[in-house]
Amino acid sequence: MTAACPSCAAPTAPTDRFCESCGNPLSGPDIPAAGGVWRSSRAAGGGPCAGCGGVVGDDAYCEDCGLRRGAGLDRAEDDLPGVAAVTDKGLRKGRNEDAYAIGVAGGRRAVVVCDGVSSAPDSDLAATTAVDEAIAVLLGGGDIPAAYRAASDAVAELAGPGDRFDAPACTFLAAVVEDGEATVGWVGDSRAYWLDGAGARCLTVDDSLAGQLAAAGIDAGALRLSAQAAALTRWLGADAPAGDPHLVTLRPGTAGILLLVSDGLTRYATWSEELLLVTDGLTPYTTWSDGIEGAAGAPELARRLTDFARDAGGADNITVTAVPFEPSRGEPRP
Amino acid sequence: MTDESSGVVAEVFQNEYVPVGATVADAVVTVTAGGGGTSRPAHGAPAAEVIMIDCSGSMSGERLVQARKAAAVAVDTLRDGVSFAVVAGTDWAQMVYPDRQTLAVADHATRAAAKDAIRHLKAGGGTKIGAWLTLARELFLADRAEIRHAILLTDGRNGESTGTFERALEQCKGLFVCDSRGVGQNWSAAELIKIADALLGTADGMKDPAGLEADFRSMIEAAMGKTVAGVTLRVWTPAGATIRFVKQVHPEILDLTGRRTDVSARVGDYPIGAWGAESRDYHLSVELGSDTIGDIGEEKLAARVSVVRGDDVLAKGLVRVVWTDEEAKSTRLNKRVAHYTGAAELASAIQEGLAAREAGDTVTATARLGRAVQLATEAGRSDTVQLLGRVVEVQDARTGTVQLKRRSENKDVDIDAEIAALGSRKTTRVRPN
Repeated sequence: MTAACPSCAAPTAPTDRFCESCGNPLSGPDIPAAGGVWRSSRAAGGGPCAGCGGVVGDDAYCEDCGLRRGAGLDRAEDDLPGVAAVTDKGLRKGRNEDAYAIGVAGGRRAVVVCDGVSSAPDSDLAATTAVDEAIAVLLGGGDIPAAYRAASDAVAELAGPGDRFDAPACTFLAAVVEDGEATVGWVGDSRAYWLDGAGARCLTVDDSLAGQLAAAGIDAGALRLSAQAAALTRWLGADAPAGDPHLVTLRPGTAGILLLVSDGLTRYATWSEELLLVTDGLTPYTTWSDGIEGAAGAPELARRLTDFARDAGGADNITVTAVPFEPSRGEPRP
Repeated sequence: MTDESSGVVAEVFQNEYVPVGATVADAVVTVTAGGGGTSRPAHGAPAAEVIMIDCSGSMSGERLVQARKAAAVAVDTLRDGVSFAVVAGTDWAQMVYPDRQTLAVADHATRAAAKDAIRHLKAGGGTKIGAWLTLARELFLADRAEIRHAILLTDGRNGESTGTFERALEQCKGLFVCDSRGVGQNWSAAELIKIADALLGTADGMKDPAGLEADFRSMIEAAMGKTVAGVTLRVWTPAGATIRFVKQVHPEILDLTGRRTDVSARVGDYPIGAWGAESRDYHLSVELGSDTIGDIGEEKLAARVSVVRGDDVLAKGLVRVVWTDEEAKSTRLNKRVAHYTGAAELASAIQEGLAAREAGDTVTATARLGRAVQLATEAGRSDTVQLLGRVVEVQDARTGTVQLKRRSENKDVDIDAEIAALGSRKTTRVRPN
């Protein structure tokens, strides 16, 4: 049986994961057409168990060995004109609970990154659900608060009746770049950075005690806070505190790159220095501008930062998305 | 996870995080039926009841007087339309009402006639419990009721050989639920527990027969509240896994491990009897095959648990395992699992201790009963400690140091230990968080 592509209504083959006509994923929320394209790190359903080759049940567990199928891909890389993304399971986690969705529609570029809260069950499903819901709103012309609400409602619905105190949960981070302006919205501790010749500047404040202290200019490290200080004070999920996302808008006068990343990268404090070690061949760059300009585009930058986090220990899932920004042109630079 | 239309909910309580290399997954599954209103009215399903009264010689006097009263109250508590019979148990089983070997239908007239027959119960003869159960079985088999319940009252130990008794129990399994009661000083907790385990009922005992009346009324009320029978707990486990045990742990401890019927290579059914609006807890322990242990962070399913009746899946729950190197996660105990693990250990320590005492094995009896005193002390079950104090001299309750008391001629001492054995099977629930 052939189904119509949810984005452009072109006919598709049953085995297709992406539409042959418009290139959009065939599973996921309906995206208002408007000529947009999008990608997400959600794993395609179906197929045999990755562990033993057995049949996977409706509950996402293998009928033979019991292995759970992750909702997100262990490793995914995508690039669209002017926006690139990489996610990786890392080395210490059994599955990838990070997820991204990126999309381009008209002059708008949109990115969503969500990090499943690993203490909650099915947080990988929370993250993939949230990114898919949010990108649909953003590519349809909605703003970040609207995308946040759609994602938040969808994640809350994942909770079962017995999950009142332990519901699927994730962070939320989204950016829209349009008309020479970038707007970032977030809840949780996934971060956005602005990279230009002056270095990397964090645009977000983590929703945690440690994050608030750091934002207030207090050296949290010197306070010897307990691990509890890094605990999230806000997240998405059935048991989440209410509220709107934090928002920040910037109109850069210079070229740069907007980076949206999960804490799988930023937990390694030296990550930004890595930018200066960009090598075309073997020569390290000596300035930030060289580093950014010299990178073989946003996809290469995202891939390299992901690999850095893996090499640094890969303790958590890693997601890096990059949107190059050129104020003079206002148009994405491929 | 649950199908809400069934009115049955299965909730899983566990710490799914286990250390790297661990192979055992433990969970408590709470099954609650009729919380939000069952699809079938409470008085819908046809029911049958057989009341078995011990009429052996030792029952004469106050015991038989109270047993007659209790049986009459039981008959009065039956709702109209329920098939029923009253049986007198001695060296054989004899119909009291109706006088033919069949079930009567409860109404004003049959209840009056049954109570009249009960008034004429006489004591004399021995105790052959297997024979009584066999008659109950025949009565139920000749009737079409879906919900079959029996009450068995005895004041003594079974006079049949173990083989005869067990064969009778085996034949009755799955056909009806039986609540058993001991009264006086001579009954055996081990025998009542055997009946409870085989026929999925409750077991209780009391010295004073005055308590029978209220007890019989509440047993019939509970039986009349049952709306479905033949319910099973269906358990899927992954390739290479074995089930360590499946136990009902609340309201009473019932070991179901040996009651498995294979459905397929990975799926087995365990009978959980008849249900009304009620809630019970099951403790499931699964040993995963050593070659299927997951890597750090990997999540596998240790069991899919569903509540099944016929072809209908009424509720489902998942028991998961996630391997982790974070000790803070893997060492966290789930309150319910820990609570019932302790309760089950206490119950088996008492039962094994008393069995060893009975067999003259002083060393084992002292060790097991000492452990029981220690566990009961830790759990704050002072009533159990007190009852155990009748058979052992407690030197240090905290460490479980005890000395077995010499057996006395006073039967009252022994029966307290039997009551402790039955009492330890009854559990309380821990409050969530």
